[in-house]
Amino acid sequence: MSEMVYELSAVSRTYRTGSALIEAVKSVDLAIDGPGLVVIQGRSGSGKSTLLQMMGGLDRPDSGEIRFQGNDLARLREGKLTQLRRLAFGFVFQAFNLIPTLSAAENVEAAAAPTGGGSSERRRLIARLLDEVGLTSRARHLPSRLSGGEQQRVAIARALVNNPSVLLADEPTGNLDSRTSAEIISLLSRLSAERDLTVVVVTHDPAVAAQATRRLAMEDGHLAEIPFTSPLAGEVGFPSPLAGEGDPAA
Amino acid sequence: MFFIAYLVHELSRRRARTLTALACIAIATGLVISVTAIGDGVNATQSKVLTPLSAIGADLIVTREADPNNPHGSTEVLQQNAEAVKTDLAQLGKPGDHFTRDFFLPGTQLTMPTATAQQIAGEAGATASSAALAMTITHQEGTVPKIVATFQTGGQTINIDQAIAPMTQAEINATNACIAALNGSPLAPPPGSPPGKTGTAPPTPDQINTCLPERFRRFRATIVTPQQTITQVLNPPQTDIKSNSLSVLGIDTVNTPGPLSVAQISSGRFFSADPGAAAKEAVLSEAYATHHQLTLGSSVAYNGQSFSVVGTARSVIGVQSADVFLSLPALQKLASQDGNANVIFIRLRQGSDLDAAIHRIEAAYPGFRVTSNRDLANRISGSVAQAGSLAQKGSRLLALIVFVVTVLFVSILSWAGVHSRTRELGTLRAIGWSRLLLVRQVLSESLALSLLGAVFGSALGLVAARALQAWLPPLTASLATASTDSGQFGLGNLAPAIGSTATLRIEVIPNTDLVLAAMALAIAAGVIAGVIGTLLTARVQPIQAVQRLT
Ligand SMILES: Nc1ncnc2c1ncn2[C@@H]1O[C@H](COP(=O)(O)OP(=O)(O)OP(=O)(O)O)[C@@H](O)[C@H]1O
Ligand SMILES: [Mg+2]
Repeated sequence: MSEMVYELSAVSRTYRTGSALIEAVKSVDLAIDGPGLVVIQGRSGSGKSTLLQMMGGLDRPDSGEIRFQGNDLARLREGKLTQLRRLAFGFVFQAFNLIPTLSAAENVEAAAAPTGGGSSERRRLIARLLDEVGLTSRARHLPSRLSGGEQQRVAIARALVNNPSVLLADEPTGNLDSRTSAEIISLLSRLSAERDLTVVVVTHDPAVAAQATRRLAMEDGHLAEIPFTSPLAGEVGFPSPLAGEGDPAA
Repeated sequence: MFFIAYLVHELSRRRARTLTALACIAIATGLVISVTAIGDGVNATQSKVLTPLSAIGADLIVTREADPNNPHGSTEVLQQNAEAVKTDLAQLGKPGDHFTRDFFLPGTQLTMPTATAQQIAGEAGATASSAALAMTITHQEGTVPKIVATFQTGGQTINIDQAIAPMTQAEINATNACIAALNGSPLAPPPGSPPGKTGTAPPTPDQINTCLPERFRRFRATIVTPQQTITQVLNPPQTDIKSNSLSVLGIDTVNTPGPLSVAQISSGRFFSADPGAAAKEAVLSEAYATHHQLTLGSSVAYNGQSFSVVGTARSVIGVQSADVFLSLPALQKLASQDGNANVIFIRLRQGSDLDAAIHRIEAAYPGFRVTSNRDLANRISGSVAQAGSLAQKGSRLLALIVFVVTVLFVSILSWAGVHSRTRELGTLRAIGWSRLLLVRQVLSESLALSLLGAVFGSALGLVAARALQAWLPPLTASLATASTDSGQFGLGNLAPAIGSTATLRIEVIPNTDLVLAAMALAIAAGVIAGVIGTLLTARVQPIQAVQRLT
């Protein structure tokens, strides 16, 4: 059990907007024990993004514990958390979040630069990563000249440049067409397998869910496992988050 | 280096924002430079004008006044001086010959032996001093006049009234005999003698006269004074002589301070260091050289003594200038003023009491007048007198306002820049950039911008200053010369070729200090703007990578 990647216990997050309190994540428990493609599904506003952000050290829970590599992300001091974001987590955003004034290669380098190290060695690493995501010819292009799929590949290369142990992706295919989405999903799935990487993906996309090694469902701030025996989330006791989008198995 | 590349890309690829900030900083820097340079230029021009002696490195000038009420023999000195002017016109040549002649007039500035000058300098506690001889040369040229007139004297009748010795008996006898011979009655007939013959005509008085002794005959003659021709020298001679005046200063070419400093030389050079060579050289005022079309290498001659022109000089308003500068020994010789001078230039020890020095001289040497910068400044009027420190203060204030506005403007730009990049900066935090790293990046962008702005701005400022230099109207300075002060040192009656009003170009040449200061201000503005942006940057959270901008 000491090999656990993540151990979340009673993680809660409440947003305060004016006088209203929104309990986005309600006492979530989750354990991830090793590499694989973990998919979190659920309705819009169910708290998927909130949970993922807390797992990636972008946000902190109001209560509960997020144990990662012996640290509690909920109470870790800012400097250490920054270091974890830099070295242990790779984050992929729905909107790609590339720096618009930097080329593809430079965007990847933006994540590598704070770690220091030799620049020629770094450059080789970046070239190899861009090759790995299939963008060698686009290294010098600015994000504005890349397609959405290409931009997301750059973002994935950037997330991988410090050789993290976890890759967190919030709807990485949300802004892509279905064919491009499939390419990104297979890339993520391949990476998780090749690099022994724990990939946690929040998605509405049933195609992604199909590639998952583990599926979770978020419902009104609560998290539940979707057993592989059933393609339907509804079977675990609450309405299926995929109900409105069709059943891939149907 | 990634961070530098990021900085360069950030500035070069967000062109509009960069150019706006750059233009703002550059214009501000240029404004600060040119405005301050104008203010400083006006002020420098003023203080130069108001401290004319400083321009020649002197603190005091001592002259000797011609004051008839002064019991200390100034009239005698005046007479002595006047001796130098006396000219024997007969020496000019034969009447009708062409001649040129230079008369040397010391004016109302009385001469004194150079030894006295040294004593006065000693009394004042001078660290350096020199004596100069200011004279007016009256140059005359024309035909040697007929300088004599002829008078006729004599021809008057002179009456003589004199008691003549009475006749002796012998003379009476002789006379009687003579008259008798003429058949006249004797003057006094001898007693008892018979009456003379009657019927014959008596002798005429002329006939009787011939009988008188010689002595009586001569005195009855009319005396006429001899006629004589007298030639007399006419004063003044009536001639066709053309006369013009120029001022000349004989200066100490070795010691400073003096009325002509090396800094005033506008072309050519100062006198030779060797006194022998200097005695054959002349420096001309720019105006005189231009007016008489004299150039370097030309020569000027006075009473046959020739001097080669080695330089031309600018005049300093308030300091006695001259059309021609010669070496003191040369002028002394020309003007027959051996060993004499009439102006003393004194430099005091740094920080010594000016008033005390003036007082000591005036107490020890009555009849001498001491002039300081203060006296001269009080007599200077014109636009320059009002402009100076006000312009400098005004320009400083304007520069400050420009700076404050610039800081505000670039701070707003910086803040807006960071604000619009919140997602980008949040993303960098999300992928592992520390707060410090992010702040460093944003701050260096501001610094780089302000540094670039400072460089462009300095160039802009220098160009603007040059343009303004040409465009600004010149300042005027007038030196008041009261009639009672005719002999006071300054632009008085001894400098006929130099007007007492000067127009002065404002020097708008920004110095290195000013440019550096303006650049420092620009960088300071960048730092302040950077810090404002940084305050916002430091608050950027990783979560903002995924939040919509509010
Ligand atoms: N910063 C925030 N401030 C206030 N409320 C928030 C904030 N972020 C999220 N919420 C609220 O928390 C709840 C969960 O949001 P979250 O983004 O985690 O949902 P989600 O499952 O990712 O939805 P989606 O599928 O639409 O992305 C929502 O009701 C949302 O409105
Ligand atoms: Mg979401």
